[in-house]
Amino acid sequence: MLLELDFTDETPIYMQIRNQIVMGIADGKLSPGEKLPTIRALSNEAGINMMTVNKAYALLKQEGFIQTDRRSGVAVSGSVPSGGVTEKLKSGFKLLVSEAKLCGMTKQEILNLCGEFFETEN
Amino acid sequence: MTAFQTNLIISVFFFPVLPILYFILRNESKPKKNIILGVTIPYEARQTEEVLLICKNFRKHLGITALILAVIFPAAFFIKYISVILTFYMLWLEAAIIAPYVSFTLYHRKLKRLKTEKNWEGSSAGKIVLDTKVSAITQKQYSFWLFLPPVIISLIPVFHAAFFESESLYFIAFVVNALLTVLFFVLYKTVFRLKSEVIDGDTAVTAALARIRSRNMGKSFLLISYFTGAYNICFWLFIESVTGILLSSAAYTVVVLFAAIGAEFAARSAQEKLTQNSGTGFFTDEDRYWINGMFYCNPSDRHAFVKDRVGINMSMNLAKVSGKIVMGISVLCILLLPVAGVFLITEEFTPVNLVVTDSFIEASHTSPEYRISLAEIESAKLIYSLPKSQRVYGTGMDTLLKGKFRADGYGECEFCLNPQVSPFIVITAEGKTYILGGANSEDTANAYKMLG
Repeated sequence: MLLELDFTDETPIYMQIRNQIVMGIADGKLSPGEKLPTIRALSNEAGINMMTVNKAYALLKQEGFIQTDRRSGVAVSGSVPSGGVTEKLKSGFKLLVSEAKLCGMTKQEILNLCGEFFETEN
Repeated sequence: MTAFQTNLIISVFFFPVLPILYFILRNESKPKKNIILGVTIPYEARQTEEVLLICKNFRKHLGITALILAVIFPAAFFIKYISVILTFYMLWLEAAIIAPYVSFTLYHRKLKRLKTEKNWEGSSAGKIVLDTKVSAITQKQYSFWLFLPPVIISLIPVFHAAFFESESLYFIAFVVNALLTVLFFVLYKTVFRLKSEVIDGDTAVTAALARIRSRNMGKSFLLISYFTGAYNICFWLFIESVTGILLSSAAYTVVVLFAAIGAEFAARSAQEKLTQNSGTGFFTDEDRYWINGMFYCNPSDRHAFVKDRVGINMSMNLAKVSGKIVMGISVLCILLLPVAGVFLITEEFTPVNLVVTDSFIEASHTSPEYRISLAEIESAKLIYSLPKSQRVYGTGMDTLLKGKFRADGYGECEFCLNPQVSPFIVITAEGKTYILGGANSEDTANAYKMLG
């Protein structure tokens, strides 16, 4: 999977890494059990601080998307975290819908867009 | 050393710079890793008429530049004075380094303008793109033990000079060569810390490119490390022979160039084949971080070294302080070459001078060289021909011998004379031998008379 880090973007780099890995898992670019680069390898490859990668991986681990092991390194979790729609997800989604409404999008347009993204991810 | 010998030796070392740069830069007009003339071009645009025309004109311009420089080169053989010959070569070398890159920059900019006009910028422009699969692969590396023999070999002259020679003038040269063998090991390790060259989403190609690069660069660093170890031994063994040192230096230069350029061209050819169809649809575009396609400057990148986009080996990140310092020193060295010429001309055309006062005799050239107290002089004699001598360090020109020399029958001596103006005064004082001369025969004879 390709990671694209944009240093001009307001989103912090650790969040960009986290988001893209989540999207990669969702659209099947990263399969369960697939090895990810170690913190050192990724920071070296991207030319960023090890702490940044560490922060992204810690977040992904906490959310259950990846698992780390001293011997085998970092890998995508065998089972993606389930447990239904969380409050955090709901509030995030609500915020996005509100922003879309304020941008002038109709309900149908929002639904179409969601459908489009959902299809792409699958 | 005569003017002809100087010309011959310098030609061997300097002239190859031109064909090497010519072929390296000419090769840049072929697409490699979707880059042409230092500009990232999408697959669809590579064979367009405009791109092909710019590449063709670049090759023509570069060819004419190289031809002019090659035609100028033999002019040095018609120059009589060594300092002028050396100045000529330094200016030529500067032109041979700069002019081909000027051609490259001109056509790089043309291609970049075309890219902007045609809107060929990749969607990832300005972003750092990396492939997680490739980053997770651990590249196979040579063992540290493979690099140890050249380090040990190169340390032999260092230890010999340090423990068995009371005064070794070449100790620093031995140490530098030994340090170089270690440096090549460090550079070898650096190769594996370089960023992968992601062209598009094809992981297999990215992984293959990383393998090719590390294998070829690694091989060349290992070979060069061994060559440097062997060179240090040759330098040590031939220390008494100028011809031996020159020949081993020439051989070392040739093999190092062959190893470095051979590895680079092998990698380029493999890259060319592998990336023939790369860059369709999504492709990476880091052009904005490359000044004139040659100098890498990315403040967001912590890498101090990156793989060269144009040329061979590695470039430094100019956004880092270390990169700025190294680049500054390199540019300064190139620009200061003609200044060295001015110094040499002053050396050759300033006459030597011999002055005797009531208390001392002084030999001067551009500045006072030797001042010997008359009271300390043990013996002085006049000779009409110079003994066969070999320079240890100092200046050796047709009209000037200055510095430390080994002279037959006298051992190590201090020289300050014009070999074309005899006689010469041989003075021994405080255990040292000096062979001095004046601006003309009368001056030397008068000085000798005053010594009494």
